[in-house]
Amino acid sequence: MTDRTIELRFSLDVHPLEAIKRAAYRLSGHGTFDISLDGRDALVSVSVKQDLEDRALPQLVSQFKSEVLDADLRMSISAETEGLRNTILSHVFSKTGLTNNE
Amino acid sequence: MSKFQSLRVFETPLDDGYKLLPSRFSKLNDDEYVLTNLVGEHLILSRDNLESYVRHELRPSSDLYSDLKSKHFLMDEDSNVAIDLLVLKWRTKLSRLADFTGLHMFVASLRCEHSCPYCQVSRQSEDREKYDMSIKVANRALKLVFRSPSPAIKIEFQGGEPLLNFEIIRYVVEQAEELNKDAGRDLAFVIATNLALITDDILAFCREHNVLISTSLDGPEDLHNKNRPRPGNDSYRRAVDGIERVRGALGRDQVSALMTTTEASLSYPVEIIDEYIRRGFNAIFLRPLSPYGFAIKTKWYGAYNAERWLKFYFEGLDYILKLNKSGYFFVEQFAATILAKMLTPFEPGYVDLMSPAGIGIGAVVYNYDGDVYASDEGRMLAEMGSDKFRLGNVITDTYEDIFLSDALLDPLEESFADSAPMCHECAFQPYCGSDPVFHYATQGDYVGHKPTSEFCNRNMAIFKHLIELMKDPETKRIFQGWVH
Repeated sequence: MTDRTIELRFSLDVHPLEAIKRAAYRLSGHGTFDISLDGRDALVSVSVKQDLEDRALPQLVSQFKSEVLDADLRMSISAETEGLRNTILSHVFSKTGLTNNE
Repeated sequence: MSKFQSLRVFETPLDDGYKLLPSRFSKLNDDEYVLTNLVGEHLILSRDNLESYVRHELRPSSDLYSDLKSKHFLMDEDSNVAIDLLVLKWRTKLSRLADFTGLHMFVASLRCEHSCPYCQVSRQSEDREKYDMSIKVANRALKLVFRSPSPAIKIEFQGGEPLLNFEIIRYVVEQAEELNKDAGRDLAFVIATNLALITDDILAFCREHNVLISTSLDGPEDLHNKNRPRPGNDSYRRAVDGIERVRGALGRDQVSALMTTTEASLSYPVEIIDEYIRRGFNAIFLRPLSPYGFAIKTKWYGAYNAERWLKFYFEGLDYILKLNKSGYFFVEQFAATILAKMLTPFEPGYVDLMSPAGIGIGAVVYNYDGDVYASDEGRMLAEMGSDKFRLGNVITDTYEDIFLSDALLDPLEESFADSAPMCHECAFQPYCGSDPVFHYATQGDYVGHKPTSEFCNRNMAIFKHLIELMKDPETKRIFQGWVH
């Protein structure tokens, strides 16, 4: 760890890797996120961007952890509602001639 | 038989509990989240409540449960009508798509007698032959206009300064009216002009053919003249005199004005709004500069960032709300466009805030030389050397060639917000757009990198600000008055 980089460890039994990736993408305007695997853990090396001050790192880390939890919650909604969403979409377009009847 | 269901129905969880309906959430502030459904209805929740909702831990007797149920975020055995209502509302939101292109812009001339350093269309100062639309091009463009299935067709004359080629405006209006005798569309005309060259003859023509006028007014005299120089340094005087002449000839509401924010504007949001009030307008569109044309060449576009523009915008909006609270009805039009998406089932059809993007399918541009562009910004980009959004040419290509071209379909498909990274899970997506032209111009691809997209950052800040402001019931009433 340096003043501008910190390594975080997430258990993949708790946090899906996809949620970690989505959180990293969302914050990629503020820092870089190197993700690697160590058994059932994901290691994430978080660095603040060059043009930000050193003290931005703790805030970025805090935001990242929060975003991982949010991403996980979003994936829960998505997984549960995907079927309904497709049903609604198919009804929305049912009179347009765009849907395949087969 | 009782008219009402028993209390037990409302108190007891149903056997299957509740089902989540599709929704998205985003952080509103440090403590709260915004949750939106498929059609943009929203609720503000704490993190704990959000988690309880997603984990199926809410009690049916709670107020939150009722709120979530009434806004189609969840359904139970008692409310399976939610799906039908969502279908109906979503179909209403998308109904414009079936109409296809309604706005058809004709670049009558690229020439202009102004020399605005922020000109986004890269106007030319001479060579009438080269930069004016010909009758041949106009005829072919008109044929394409009436191929659009839209029941409402608006033809907007753009420039340069379109009045420098008024002959083609006269021709297009008369021909369009002739063609419309068979087509039977709801036909409207607008001239976007700086008004410096308006004459009584032109006004008489506009009155006869019900042509609306859209002009530019950047603020008080000093600021307007600085932003919009012309020989004689009298662009402001010509604009405000022109506005009065148009009103006198055509009627008070037949002229509207647009402003563009330059670096020099940033300190004067109140003065700019006051200028609009002095000129008798009841609305203003606080617009940032766009990254095209001379605005890039002269570096005026880069003179301020999104943060500075947002400060200007929020100060302006704050002042406008104070005016409304004191009893003076005055609208900020960008906010009103977003609020229409937030507070009504209708889609206002503002090209920049549409997904699929509004390019081509909401508006299309017929350039002076016959080239067809997917949007006004697309032709601005072309004047800078990129033909990325050129769909074809009215002389050489058919309607099918143009509107089924990869140059249109690729950016529409790639930038579709429902499948764009970050956008597809953003609570503000129902209010936002995909704007592939802006992202191509600033980031080099149709989708863009949303975490660093100025479009995304600026719009997200405005969406959050409007939702925060609506926590005040009086402000919410004012906003509802703007959209109903």
